[in-house]
Amino acid sequence: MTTDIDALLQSPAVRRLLLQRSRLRWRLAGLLLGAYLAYAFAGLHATDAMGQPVFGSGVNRAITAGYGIILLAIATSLYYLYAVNRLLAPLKELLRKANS
Amino acid sequence: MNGSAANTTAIVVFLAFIAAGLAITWWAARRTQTAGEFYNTGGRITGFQNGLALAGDFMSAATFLGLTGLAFMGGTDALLFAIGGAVGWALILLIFADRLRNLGRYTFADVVAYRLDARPMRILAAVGTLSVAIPYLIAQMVGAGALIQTIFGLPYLTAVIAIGLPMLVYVTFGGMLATTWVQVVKAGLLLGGGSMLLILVLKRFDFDLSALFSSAAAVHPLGESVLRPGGLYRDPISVISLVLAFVCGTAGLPHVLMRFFTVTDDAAARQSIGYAVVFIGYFMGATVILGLGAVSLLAGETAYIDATGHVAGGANMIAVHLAEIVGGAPFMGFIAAVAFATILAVVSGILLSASASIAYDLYTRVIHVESISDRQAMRVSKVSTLAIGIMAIALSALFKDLNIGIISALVLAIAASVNFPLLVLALYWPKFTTRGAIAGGTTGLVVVLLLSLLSPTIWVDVLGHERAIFPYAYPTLFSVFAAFAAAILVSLTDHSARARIDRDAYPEQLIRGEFGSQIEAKI
Repeated sequence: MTTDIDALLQSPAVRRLLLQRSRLRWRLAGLLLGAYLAYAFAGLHATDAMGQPVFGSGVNRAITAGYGIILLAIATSLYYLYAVNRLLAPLKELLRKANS
Repeated sequence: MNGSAANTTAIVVFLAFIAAGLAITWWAARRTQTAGEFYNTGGRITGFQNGLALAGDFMSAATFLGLTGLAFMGGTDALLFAIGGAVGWALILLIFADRLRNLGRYTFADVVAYRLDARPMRILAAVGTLSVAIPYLIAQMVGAGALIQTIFGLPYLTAVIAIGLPMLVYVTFGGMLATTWVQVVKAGLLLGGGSMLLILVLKRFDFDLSALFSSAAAVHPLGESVLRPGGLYRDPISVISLVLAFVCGTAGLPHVLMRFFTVTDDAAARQSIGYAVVFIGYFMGATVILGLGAVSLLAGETAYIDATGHVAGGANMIAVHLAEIVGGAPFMGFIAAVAFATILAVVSGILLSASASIAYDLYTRVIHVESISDRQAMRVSKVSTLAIGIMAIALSALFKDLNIGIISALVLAIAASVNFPLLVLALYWPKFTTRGAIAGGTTGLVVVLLLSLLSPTIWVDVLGHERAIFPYAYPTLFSVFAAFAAAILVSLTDHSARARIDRDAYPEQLIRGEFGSQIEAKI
């Protein structure tokens, strides 16, 4: 089992896959955490701008942005599920070849 | 609670929930023969079911009742918590889902001990688990007792036992399988009940959100400011601490992390958290609308709010009052029963995580080093569940006046400062060593407890001193930073033989963590 793992680690395809997955994970995480912190700080330092109405008299920028970030978290999660499955598909093929 | 119709509905719905839970326990007990099945169901839960159960673990009564009350009192600032829930869970999906499922079996200690020295890591993880689970369990039960007392007028002790006894039966006999299904049923009830309440509230405003927000601003004592941010938190340190407590704390809750191991593989773990993000994002977003809707719907209703603005039963009762206004007494009874069921399901999950920590991490893996039979392991699991459960009931009965707000915030801060740094560094930093983990975990725990003690919430409000030594309400920014800093510094200066073993094992852990199920399938 150890030999197989060593062989996998040496494989350029696996190393590329690890890198792609790592990029995907941390970019999306950075996007979400950045959006959340930006929202929190806008609430502190741009109170009036966040209070400006957007669609009608009641819905302002703070409410729109807040629900926007909740939707962004959902969309990011769904995209990640799709992207990981797509990234992992070549690995299955690689392992099939390695074991055939 | 007003009116016997509401009381009857609440009692019928809650008794039906307890009965359903007992039927589930009977069914689950027949399928739980080994200690492994007791803790992780043998991987029998599907992604969708686990997604509902995970969402159920997070959507506690504190979330539902507390967030509605917060939006009612403080306005759109409550959105910070709702966003925190959705973002926190999305980050759990990105950072933890695959690797945790691929590297662990029953508890998160399995993951931390994968390449580091198992014995000290299991002890450290058990400290992290128990210092979160036991206070959280007691706080939830005290909260439940007070809530039931307010809603049904039952004596406090009776209320605590009404929650404690079914919890003991579900977990002791049905293990993770019963706990998960009870959580799934409750999550369905909470999502269904919350959605019905949302529709009834929106109907009052002809489904016009703009009208709902405008009406809130027109009657709220804060006026237009109720829709603007910046009312609840005024300094950046508090805001970052709050964000960290929500995001890192949720990702460090042991009863949540345990659920990753109940599904077949990493793909199902990812899928389940994807579902959880959708459920949590929807529910928390809806809860803020309920709170703001309540502002104008409850205005002038002297039965619920007196002339000084005091809410009957406290701000946590807003959702229950709102249910009576828009749906009548039977609907209020239904919502009250759902809140009750929510607490029962959540405490069951927490009890199971505390039991797993003692019976599996400490007894089976540290104290009793020789292997024990499955029968013995099961017996230890059940005995520890009963012991912790009875202790929690007794302590909840004794500490009736416990400040549950402080305890709940502290628990999240401990999870963020101890468990979260341990997991992140163990999973992602190749140079992390056993000594670094001990230093980081211990520092996180000491700093979070010390700063909480010296903060205005405990030092001034509870202990009565004039001025707080630590000026901020939340210690998380400092304690999380201290935990990471200590762990990194000690790991970097660690040249021991064990450190070499810890570092050399990282590549294998990386491959197993990233591709676990694919590799298992082929080798």
